[in-house]
Amino acid sequence: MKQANEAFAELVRPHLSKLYRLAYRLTGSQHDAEDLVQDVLVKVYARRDELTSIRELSPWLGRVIYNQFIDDKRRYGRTPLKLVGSDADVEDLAATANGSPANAASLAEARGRIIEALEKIAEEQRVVLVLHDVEGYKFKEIHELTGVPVGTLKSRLSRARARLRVLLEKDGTFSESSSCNPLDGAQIDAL
Amino acid sequence: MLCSEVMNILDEYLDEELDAEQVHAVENHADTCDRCRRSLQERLQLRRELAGLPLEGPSEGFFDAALDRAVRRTDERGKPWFARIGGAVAAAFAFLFITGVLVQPANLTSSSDIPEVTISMHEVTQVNLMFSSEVALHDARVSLQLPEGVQLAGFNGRDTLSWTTDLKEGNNILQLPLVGYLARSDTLVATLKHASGSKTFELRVTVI
Repeated sequence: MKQANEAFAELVRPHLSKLYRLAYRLTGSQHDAEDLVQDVLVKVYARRDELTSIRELSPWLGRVIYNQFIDDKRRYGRTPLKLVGSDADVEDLAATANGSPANAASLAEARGRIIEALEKIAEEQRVVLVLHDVEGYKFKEIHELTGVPVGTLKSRLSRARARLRVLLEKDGTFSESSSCNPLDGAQIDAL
Repeated sequence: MLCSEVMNILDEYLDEELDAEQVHAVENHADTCDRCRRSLQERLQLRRELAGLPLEGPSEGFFDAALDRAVRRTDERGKPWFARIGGAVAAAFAFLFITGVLVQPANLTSSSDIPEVTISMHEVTQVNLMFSSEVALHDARVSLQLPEGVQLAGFNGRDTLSWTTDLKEGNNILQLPLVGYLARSDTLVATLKHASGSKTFELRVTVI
């Protein structure tokens, strides 16, 4: 039994960081992400004999995470996304903001508003936005994860981005002018 | 190209999904249109901020503990969890005997000798509490008050936990996968409540 346990751990452990990251982006909190990963590990261990025959384990495990999340959304989705505040994050933020405390504070504030806005987007759209624009997944990878056709994913992403911009415009984080004057373009095109 | 046409394909431009002719048209337009150029810059900035959103990592030792729990939960499926005995995983034991107490509601004091366990910082240590009851008890309420700096693996951020369970006649083992985060010594309080009475126990936990 011990050998079987060790073989299972060896097989799965290299993928845990990526799985946790996916779980965190889906659920929005450490607590829920850990619950989700834990539940999936229990499920996967029960099917450990199948694992060695799976050619690409990482995407397979990702699908199990996603399906478990969808199956029990009410449980995992209960904690709103939040901006974490560890020292490491502050250091990262300061580095991103070129070391300026004022810039770091401004960046943190903007990120906080983005995270709040993400919570207001319909979940099926938010999932695509988070996976594509935050985690950098390709449409093909999101399709493999969710089973949703690429065309639908593109449409959802487009709506999610538009909704995010509207939400951020409302609180002043984003000031894109939707009333861009078509005549400006006409004049320029005529030049 | 009109502003409205540019705005409609700005995201595709940023996603690098446009053909060369469209890219050229967008860039030419943005060069001469302040509003569209500003929109492009703001969308680009938003993309950067989305890509830089922070992620809170897992708690210390989570992956090891999660793998361990996955194995144990599956292997022990079907057994009443309160009655599991640690066996090979047991690293420390504390024995709490409640013989006869639950049928004496007035007797709420525990032994003056508080059992002690020592656990290592940031490692999961299985601490097994053994409760002995003279009779089987249904719907007993178990509550745990964890000391500061000690958590139950898998229940991060929780310092109190309660649940209802059945106790069989004889010995009942409660496995607690404890993780220490602060080097200190403090008391874990376990309370058993039942219609016939209640009992509180203490366990001194030292984290090193």
